[in-house]
Amino acid sequence: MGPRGLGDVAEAEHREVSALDHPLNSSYVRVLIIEVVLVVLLFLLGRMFR
Amino acid sequence: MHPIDWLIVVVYFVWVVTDGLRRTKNRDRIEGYFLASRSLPWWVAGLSVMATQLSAITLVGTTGQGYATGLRFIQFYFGLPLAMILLSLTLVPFFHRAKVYTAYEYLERRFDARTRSLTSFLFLMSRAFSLGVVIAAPAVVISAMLGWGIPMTVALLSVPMVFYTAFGGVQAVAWTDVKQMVLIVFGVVAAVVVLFVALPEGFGLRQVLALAGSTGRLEALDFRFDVRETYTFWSGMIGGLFLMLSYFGCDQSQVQRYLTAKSVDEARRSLLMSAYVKIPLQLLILGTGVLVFVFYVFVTPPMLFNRVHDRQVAAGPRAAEYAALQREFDDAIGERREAARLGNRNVFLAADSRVRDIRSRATDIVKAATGDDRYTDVNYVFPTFITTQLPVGLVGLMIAAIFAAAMSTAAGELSALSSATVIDFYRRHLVQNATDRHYLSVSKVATAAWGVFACIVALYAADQGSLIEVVNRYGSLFYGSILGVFLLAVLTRRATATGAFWGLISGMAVVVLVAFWTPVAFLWHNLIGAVTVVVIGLSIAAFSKTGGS
Repeated sequence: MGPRGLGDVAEAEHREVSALDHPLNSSYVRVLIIEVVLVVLLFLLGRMFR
Repeated sequence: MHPIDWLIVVVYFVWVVTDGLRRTKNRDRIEGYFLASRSLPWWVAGLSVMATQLSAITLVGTTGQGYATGLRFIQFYFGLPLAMILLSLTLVPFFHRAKVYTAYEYLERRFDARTRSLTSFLFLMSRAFSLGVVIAAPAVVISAMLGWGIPMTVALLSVPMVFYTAFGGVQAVAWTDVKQMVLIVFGVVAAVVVLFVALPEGFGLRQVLALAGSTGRLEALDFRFDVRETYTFWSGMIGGLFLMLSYFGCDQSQVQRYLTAKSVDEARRSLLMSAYVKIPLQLLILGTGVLVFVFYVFVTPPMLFNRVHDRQVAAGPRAAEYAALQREFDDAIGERREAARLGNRNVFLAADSRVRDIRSRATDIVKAATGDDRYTDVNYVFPTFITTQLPVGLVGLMIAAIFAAAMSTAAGELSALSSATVIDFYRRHLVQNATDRHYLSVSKVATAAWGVFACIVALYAADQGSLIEVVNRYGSLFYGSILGVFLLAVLTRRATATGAFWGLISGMAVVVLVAFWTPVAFLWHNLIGAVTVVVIGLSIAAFSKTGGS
């Protein structure tokens, strides 16, 4: 029988730890910050020019 | 079109096909053909991900929506960045480390062959018809723009695309996607520059924003929580999140893109590229539509942009009424233009309201004259602007960009259809231990066969406007449920094969009921499908465990 779950597959494979495995990696945080800024800018754009 | 524009389109076709094929390596091996031997850099895989998502109808339809209603459609993409992060943390490393060819292959390792085959079959059915629509929808618009027959446009779109996909495999698709994305972005930016240059003297960005804003076109956000509304902040953030998780995480046409990346991190970066760029890019495209609206405040637009029914209307019983509307339209346009020049907001808005009313009445006449209840001209706004207002050279470039958008999406889907057919069915159920050469031959035949099938669907769909909508709706019935199966697979060890299989069936049944018997907007179907599969799947697992013990 093959690997059965996320953890099992990770154990079965040779797994290199990467910074991008971490949920709070700066790349992910940057993506979320950019989205929040865009939403705020769109909100302000709609308010300023109506 | 000017001969120089034709030359640009021809050069584009030749370049795309020859360069795409030239860059393919190891295409004598099945891993090279379907996964580029997992060797592509993140930016190639990332641009391929974006090019596959950005279809021609996205390009012309989104600019048309920007023209007609403004920036509201941007909310559709709000779930995308978060989806990319979640996928980078879960499914992407999972697929890469499991060394699978298709997303569904993993489901057999986790559950059983039945669940793998069913999800792969659902993908094949929905994508095969959707591929026909991806070809048909732009073919209808291009045919109307250039006065060509639909079969010729379908052939022009499909033959080179099927050729480089069949012979070059996923590498040819990815490298042509790169060029196609560059061409699309360059074309849109060039159109924006032309639009700004064409504005009256003294009319700058601030005036453009004020004019567009006065008509409500810059109000992008709708915070009402109404599940019947298609595009709201919440439907985009929540329903859109589940849609994007499903599309990028469980749809082979996207999974195959990032499986070509060199490593797990390169695959993650390819998805994060969309997370950074997608919303600004869509804003650029929607903003171009808003600019086209401002442009046509100062330049008289056609009353309706889709003129294919003009002759029928002119020969019909309401021809005189239509002609009178045209005169009324010209008056209202003149009044609106003058009010915009003088900065008279109230007069401008009143004239703009008259223009909209006249367009609505003209649309009703066309619908009555042709019997086409779904007649709309939104998809024809940008193509009309391109062919009538852009300078020589740029027209050819933009036509090539529309072809590029259509071909990049279609090629990605075609390659994915072929990989799922060969890996999930042919190699799994029919011929298990053949040589790479054998599978490659079968893959090329499968690519060509799906290409022919898509062309037949496209020719049929092009004549049936409603079919396009039906096919799109049909695809959205499965998305959430397939996501639910993958959630069961990766988030819990409790789920069983039986639970996953019947959970999937239940999820689709619930979504069908919701879609056809409630007014809930389609973005929410993805959430409903996924949650149903997870709940039913876990319940069956818990029940069978209790029964077993």
